[in-house]
Amino acid sequence: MARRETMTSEERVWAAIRLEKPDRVPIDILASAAYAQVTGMTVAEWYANTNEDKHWASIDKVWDYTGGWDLDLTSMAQGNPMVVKVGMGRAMGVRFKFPGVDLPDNYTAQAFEQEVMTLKDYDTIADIGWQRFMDEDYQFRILDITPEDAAKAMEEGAGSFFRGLDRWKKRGVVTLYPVNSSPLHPFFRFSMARSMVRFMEDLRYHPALVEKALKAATREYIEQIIPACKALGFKLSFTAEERAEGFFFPLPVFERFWWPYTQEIVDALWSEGIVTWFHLDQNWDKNIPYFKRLPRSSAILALDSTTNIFAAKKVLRGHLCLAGDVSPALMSLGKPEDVEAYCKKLIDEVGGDGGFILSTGCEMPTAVKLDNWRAMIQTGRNYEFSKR
Amino acid sequence: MKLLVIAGFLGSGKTTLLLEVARKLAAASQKIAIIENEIGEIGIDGKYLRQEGLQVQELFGGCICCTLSVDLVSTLEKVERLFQTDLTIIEPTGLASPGDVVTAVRSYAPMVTDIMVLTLLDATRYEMLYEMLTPLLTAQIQSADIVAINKIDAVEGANIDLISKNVNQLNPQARVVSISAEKRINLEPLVMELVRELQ
Repeated sequence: MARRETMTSEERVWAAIRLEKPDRVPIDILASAAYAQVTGMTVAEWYANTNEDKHWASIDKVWDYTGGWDLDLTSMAQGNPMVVKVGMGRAMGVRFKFPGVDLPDNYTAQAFEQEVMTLKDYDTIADIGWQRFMDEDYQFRILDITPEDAAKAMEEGAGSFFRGLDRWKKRGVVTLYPVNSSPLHPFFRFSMARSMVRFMEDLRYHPALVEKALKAATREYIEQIIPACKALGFKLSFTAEERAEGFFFPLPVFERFWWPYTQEIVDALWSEGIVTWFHLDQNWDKNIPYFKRLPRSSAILALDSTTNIFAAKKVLRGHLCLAGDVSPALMSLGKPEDVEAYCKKLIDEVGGDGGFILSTGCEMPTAVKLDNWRAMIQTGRNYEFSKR
Repeated sequence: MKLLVIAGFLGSGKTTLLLEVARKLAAASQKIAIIENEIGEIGIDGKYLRQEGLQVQELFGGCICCTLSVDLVSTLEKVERLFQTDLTIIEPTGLASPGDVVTAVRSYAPMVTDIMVLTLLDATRYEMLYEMLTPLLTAQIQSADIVAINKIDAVEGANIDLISKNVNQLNPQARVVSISAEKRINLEPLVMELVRELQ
């Protein structure tokens, strides 16, 4: 702990979540293949890597150069490309294209959205749940693997996961790793698996069918997260959504197909002392007021720079913690002084009275400049002390 | 470099129009590049177009990629460096707001001097899409310089009038045209207008 700091990372993050003013703003990083190019690897090499220590060397190098952060999301090493392929496919429910295989070497891995889930699968999900549907059927539609491959990848992935947790714990960093195989809100999961166009048509022409599956998937999601969080000692649960917002759908669709399930998830988790971290990509300006209906401090909204975080703060000040929103464009195309200036603005205007976590907007881009990464971390670590 | 953004929801006919414009401009000795943003669909045939003198760059990253603006700017820089084109035509994913594309370009791509946005609407599905995806359709219409109501051969004239009225309310500044790209109804005048504007 630096001399001016009076809190540990854990204390700092939870102070922000409780809407208190920490000793300085907590810093969160969501990065995976962003570690590649800044440490001399191509993105393709990152995904093809078979040596877990090599990944950790990259992560450690960035940590040392930038100064380190308080909360980490997905900075994990994998020693088997199959683990990444299976993990990402199952998490997002779509086929992926990978750099070096389907894409140029330094591209970000891409979700390849197609209609894979069919209309009749909604009934199956309502009957047996998403997990069994995924394990017994769906994963073999999106991944070219055998059941043995899947089992082996998941076993190896679990090993990497626990070794990673241990590393971050020793460093005193709070981790925010999804505890179930799909961290997507059920609405987002169906949209990805059906494809946007088919899902939109389902909402219009088969709403009862979609609702039946949403109810079952929501109930299952809660039943998976609570015991997993308890077993791991996690008090934070990660949920991603980037299809339900007012950028795409009008509010009546949001109110009918997203909000009730969201409220159910947050209420159930909060009753067990678990806070939901919403990874909300795209523009949520029109939806932000709904979150005021959630219990105070029961959730964190992580915004990606598309939503107006300054306006969101006005609505949710004193009610929910916000995280964000240093954009991928700024981190890769901007200069360190631009990053510094924007982080200061966020700290002053969104974090001035607490309830704010300085975070990557969405994910750290693979084309990030290392000095921009450092500027973000250093501004978060030092700016408020320099003003005192 | 000038930039033409051809926007519109999935299935609105963007690729058909893009190819028509690109061929006409290439025939007029313009150096043209096409940036195609795939989203799980088979893109245009790059190899075939290269034989016609058109440069094609795929923009990987689309429906759920928050780094799309980064990749777009990098691709524009590559196009500028490799081809020194007069015009680049970009077909963003059908789930994109062209306004976001314009913002990214204006913020980080100084090589682009002029931007024109053409939004295509599918007349056959407009009512349903507008009901279900009002904000997205609205954003696509509001950031357009020209709105082309496509597939007019497959709908009643009264429906076209209603769509046109709706578009005018959402974006009074935009020029609204009705076409059928497939049946080539009113296509030539629109393409010639774009050629004039973009030369």
